[in-house]
Amino acid sequence: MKNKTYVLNTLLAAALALTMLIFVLVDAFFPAVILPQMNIPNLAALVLLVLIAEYYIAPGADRCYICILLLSAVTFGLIPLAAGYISGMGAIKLAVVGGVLFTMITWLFSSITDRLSSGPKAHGAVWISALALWLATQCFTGIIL
Amino acid sequence: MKKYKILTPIIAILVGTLLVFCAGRATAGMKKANEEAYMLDRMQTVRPGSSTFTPEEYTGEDTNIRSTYKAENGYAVFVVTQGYAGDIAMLVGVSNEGTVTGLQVQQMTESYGLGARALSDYEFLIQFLNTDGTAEVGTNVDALTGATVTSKAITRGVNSAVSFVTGADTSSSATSWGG
Repeated sequence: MKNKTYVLNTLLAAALALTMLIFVLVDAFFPAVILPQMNIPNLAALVLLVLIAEYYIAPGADRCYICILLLSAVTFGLIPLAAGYISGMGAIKLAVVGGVLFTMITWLFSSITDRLSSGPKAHGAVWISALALWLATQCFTGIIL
Repeated sequence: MKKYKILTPIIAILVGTLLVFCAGRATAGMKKANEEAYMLDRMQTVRPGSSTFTPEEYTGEDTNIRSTYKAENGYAVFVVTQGYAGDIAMLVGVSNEGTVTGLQVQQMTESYGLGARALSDYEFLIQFLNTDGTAEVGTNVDALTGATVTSKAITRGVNSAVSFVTGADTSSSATSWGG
């Protein structure tokens, strides 16, 4: 039995903290700039970038999906709240939506990458799979909202 | 040692939270100063000829109006209306005579390539200059192609701002989605 790793959630925390830090600085120095919203397509883009990074750093990692859900929910709720980007009920909504979205995309992405062939094609396939998932998320957003 | 692996993401979350919180607190003063300078610059653009703008409390019933600023020669009114995909925030300059002297759409999340063009479409925005609260899509305002709802939302906002200055009533139906 493989040992479960938590590289994914660590990368998510780092990526989201970096993103929020950039937002805080842009908001402070360039108030005219319209910052991107924390909507489903943007969250999905961040999630997929994290997943691609994890694919290269810790390929074939064994996952605890319950831990992924809980940790990602805490990450999405806490870090934007600390940055002042959202407040109150918005933090709870983002935590729930972010956590569920992260878990779902992780499961799908892992299912795809587990079946990718080895060799040079696998690297390109990772990026193309991520792009396809992001486009699918945009369509999904259009259906449910 | 294996069971402590879960501490790594927890520590990362806490460090990330602390980092952004400290960054927010450290830049709070600068953010406030920059926002005030930016707002003054924008107000002077939409209501030229005035160097000072004094915030005035809005006590009316128009839910579109969020804040008002009295200038020497008119007002700058900050308005938020419901667009197609979300709120549209704009700053409208109105003279004491009740005519629009400037309009800037400041924030929106409308559809890219359609409603989002309202941010910078000169030919659309210039239609509102010198209007007196009677702007209406289809009558004296040509809507953005494919963005009628956005166009109506901006029109409502402009009319709300003028109505505030002239003291005219704004009917509640004018605030509804789709105008």
